[in-house]
Amino acid sequence: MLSRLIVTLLTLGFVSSLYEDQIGKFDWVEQYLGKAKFVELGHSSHGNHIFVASEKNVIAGIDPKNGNIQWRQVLEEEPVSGFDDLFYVDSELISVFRGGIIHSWSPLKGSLLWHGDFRPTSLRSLLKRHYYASKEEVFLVDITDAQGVSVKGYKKGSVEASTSGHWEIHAPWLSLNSKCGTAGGIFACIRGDGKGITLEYFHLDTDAYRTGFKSLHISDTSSVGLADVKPVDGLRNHPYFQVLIQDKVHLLRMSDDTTSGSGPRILWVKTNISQLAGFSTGDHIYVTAIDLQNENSILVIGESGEVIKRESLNLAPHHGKIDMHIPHHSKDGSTMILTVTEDHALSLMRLPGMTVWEREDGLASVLAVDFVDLPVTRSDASVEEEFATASSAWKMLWNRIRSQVNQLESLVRHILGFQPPPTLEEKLHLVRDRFNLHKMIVLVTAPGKVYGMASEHGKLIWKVFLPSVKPLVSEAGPELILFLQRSASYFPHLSVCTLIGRKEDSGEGLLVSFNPISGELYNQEPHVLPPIAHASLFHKHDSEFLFPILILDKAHQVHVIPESATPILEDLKDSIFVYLADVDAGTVQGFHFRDSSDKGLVGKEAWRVHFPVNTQRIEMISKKRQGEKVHSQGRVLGDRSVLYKYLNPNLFALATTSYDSIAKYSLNVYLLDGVTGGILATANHKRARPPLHMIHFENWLIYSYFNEKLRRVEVASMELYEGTTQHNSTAFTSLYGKHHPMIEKQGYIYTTNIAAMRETITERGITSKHVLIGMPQGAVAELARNFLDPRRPLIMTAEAHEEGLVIYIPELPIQMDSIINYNQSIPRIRNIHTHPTGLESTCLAFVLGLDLFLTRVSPSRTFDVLKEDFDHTLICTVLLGLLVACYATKHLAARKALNQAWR
Amino acid sequence: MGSFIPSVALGASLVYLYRGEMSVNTADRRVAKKFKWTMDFSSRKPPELASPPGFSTTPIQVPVEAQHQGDHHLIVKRSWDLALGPLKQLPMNAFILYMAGNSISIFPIMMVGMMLIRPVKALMTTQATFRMIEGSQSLLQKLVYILGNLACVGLGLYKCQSMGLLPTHASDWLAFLEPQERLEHSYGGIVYRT
Repeated sequence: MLSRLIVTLLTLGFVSSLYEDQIGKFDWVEQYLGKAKFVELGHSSHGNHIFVASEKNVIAGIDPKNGNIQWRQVLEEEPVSGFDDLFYVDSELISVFRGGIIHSWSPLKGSLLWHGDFRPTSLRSLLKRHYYASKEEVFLVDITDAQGVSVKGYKKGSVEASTSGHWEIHAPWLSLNSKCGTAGGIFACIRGDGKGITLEYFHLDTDAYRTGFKSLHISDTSSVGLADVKPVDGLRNHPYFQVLIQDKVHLLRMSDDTTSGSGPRILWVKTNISQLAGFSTGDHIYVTAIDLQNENSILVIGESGEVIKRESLNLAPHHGKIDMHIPHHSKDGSTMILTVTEDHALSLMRLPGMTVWEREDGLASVLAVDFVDLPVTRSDASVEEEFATASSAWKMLWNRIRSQVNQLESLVRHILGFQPPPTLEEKLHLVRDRFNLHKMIVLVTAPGKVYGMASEHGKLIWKVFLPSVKPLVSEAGPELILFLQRSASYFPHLSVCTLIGRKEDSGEGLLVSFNPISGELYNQEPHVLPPIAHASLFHKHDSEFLFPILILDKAHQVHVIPESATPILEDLKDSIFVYLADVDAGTVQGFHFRDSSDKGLVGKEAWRVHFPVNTQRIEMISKKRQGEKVHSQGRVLGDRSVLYKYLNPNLFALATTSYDSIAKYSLNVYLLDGVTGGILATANHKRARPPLHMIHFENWLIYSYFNEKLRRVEVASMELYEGTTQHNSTAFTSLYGKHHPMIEKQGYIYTTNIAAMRETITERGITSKHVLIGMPQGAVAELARNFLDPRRPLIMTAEAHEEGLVIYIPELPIQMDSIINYNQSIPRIRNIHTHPTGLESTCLAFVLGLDLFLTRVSPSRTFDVLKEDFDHTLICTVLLGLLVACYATKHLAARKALNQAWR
Repeated sequence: MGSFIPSVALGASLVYLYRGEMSVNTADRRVAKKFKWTMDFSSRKPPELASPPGFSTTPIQVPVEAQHQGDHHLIVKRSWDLALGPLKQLPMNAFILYMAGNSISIFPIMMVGMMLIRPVKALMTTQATFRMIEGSQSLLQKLVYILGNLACVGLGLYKCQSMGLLPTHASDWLAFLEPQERLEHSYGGIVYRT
């Protein structure tokens, strides 16, 4: 026994020593599930379990103690959610996916025990399907258009579909709109006619009832359309149903042979409650419901309808409304409630009102991200203050002396150990570090919740729920716009972030401003604007360092937020242009601004490019990052001349797809000037189709598409150059002097699908750029830009070698050591966000998918930082040693010379 | 130092030379202590000896004219040697540089560095060199000297040029190029649907 223990301990030691020093040092990953669609609580010999089947087609087991994911299985992605039902019977988790694919998962590890595809071969006769899993069998109840139901029972665990029973029941009153449900081995449907509403039901697992429906009268009302029957959440294995008729909630017990001897009956009818859920204590059934009069409290109702408890939930206001709740009766007699809220969060609460844990699963559907610099420390702030108030020279001198005295004081305190207590920000590490590596990540999710996350460790700092702000609808799907109007660099002024969304019913634009560091809202009520066509952050700030937002509404009227900044725009209105691409009309319009007497600034059409809708469809627009810094203005050729880059900041790329019967799909890419509307370059790819990914930076355009003919993903690269002379080295204008750029193009093959693509960015643009490619498998690869160089030659010449070009090989390499997320695969990568840090060599890469992953990327290696394993002590010792040796030898030499002299 | 020591006292004078910076008296005492066979001549007066045959203390009468002429020629000659020195080095330098090759590695760089530094140094110290150049043709010689050094510098520069070390291409000044100022600003994108 002892020897075995020793062997185990030794092995543990060896295993943990593998590459441990690097993992998680600069990166972190946070795993999410998406909004829970089905939740099951279960008990097995290993304790309690929480199972979640989410709307993102993820099934997972959650630790009830802390809310951590115990296991997670990511099923294939679909535009609509795929789970149809979830059962936990007899220590087995059974999920129904996409209309009949049944998986059985082990509750402890999440391994697949068995699965079967029971999807109907033809959907023609099938109207609707219901499922039920009993201890031995899985039942599929199909409502067919042959005026009846067809029931199929399959033995569990059989890989092949072995039918244990198949029977049909004639029911001509069933239709597509019939409301039905399964619970406790009973299939029940609402049937209504002029006389009233009845519940028709039969038992699935008892042979005696295979002949037909039995019926139970429920109500005399004739409004069948509003009636609904549902199983009670948490009581799926018990024969209880809830029937909702208008605002009345009926609880029904459908079992025949109870101890009291009564048959199926309505237990109670109540109003003003919603979302019935229940739990069983063994011999009794209790039902919980949300009190509609006070949405924050929950009622526990007994079988006879008496309200046993009315408990307040004390749900944090940032969760919004409760969408689903499941109660659980723990052994110590307390009641636990698991809630799924409007913000997609899953929380476990112990009644009365104590949150045990909460999972912010809304972060699986992030729509907008921005990185915000953290505010400077107090001492740095005092230095900033010194420059802030510069009224007179004497005042400045006084400020300077004061701040330096303060610094001296803090230094002395630091040495003596009397430091002032750290502020809250300092405690949370929410102050800027020396290299500005840690930032605040502002994330906005699809339900409208805004999170502040520390980039250092991925912990959430603040949360604000804005349920009124709905995503804007664009070609690429729902979109929320987040602008950082003022960063934390302008010291006395607080930083300002603004979220732009849409009002659900009217489609009007909504603006909410908040402090990205603390999450404090600047305006409690969102600012309402007419429906928004376009919004951009203006390039020039006002006197308070606030960058205004430029909004063009559908009537092409200009709005400036804040309105006080309108004069800035009016001054510059002759040099401001806006282009709008309308997918439905197939046009790209350019606008310039003119003063209109009554409405202020109005956009007037200056140019229009038309893409006939019947032949071409605008797919996407890719523009350069605003305020992009390009360090090198040209490229050095092999003969040491310069090829100047064509750095038109107004350039944008537009991709259209077309379809015709001969060439099938084709892809067109245009480079347009946003000021003049001139088309500077085009590319046409035959038999190419989306998914499209485009990145546009400096003088580059890189895009990927699917080549239908060769069935592979291709990456095209386009580079623009002015030529060997620069037309104007000081200013760039699109309007005057037409200079057509030189265009270099090349195509490459990528050996796997691409889910997202993004270039790295650094503070000053000196570091070479890499392209980050997210793959559907969950890996993110870093690809050096020179692999995508369109100037890669077919035949290597000395000059090309001198220039540092690599010979053209169509396949782009995927090196395993260039995968930045090593073994931490991120399922369903949707976007990669990059942000510069204070270190020129380092760029933050934030991968958004089902999970969130943040790491540091240094495309040219960390040339400005000492290596991790740099031996400071050795260097210091050697230096000190040499210094000592220097003085010692000097002394010795002097003595020797003196001795020599005396001889 | 040795001038007041009679030629006979060779041993002693060697000793004096050996202890160059010491005062005579101290040295003598120490010598007396140290060397058995050393004789102290300082206390005794040296005896008058007859000059050896062929030795004359009176200076030889050389024709002043001829000597003067020879001096002049010698000065001019020496000055020309000095002036032509850099030019004479040129073929040798060119050969060395040719042998060094155009690759940029430590030895060619060192050689080119030496080739460049030497004439530049020489040019810096022209004043001192010119003081040595005398005679009627001094102006021409100075000119030749300067030209020779400049030719050496030129050779070094030519080598630098052929090695690609001179910033003569546009690409060498690329890093100092400021980004272009943007005169117009454009914003835009795909219109949001209502």
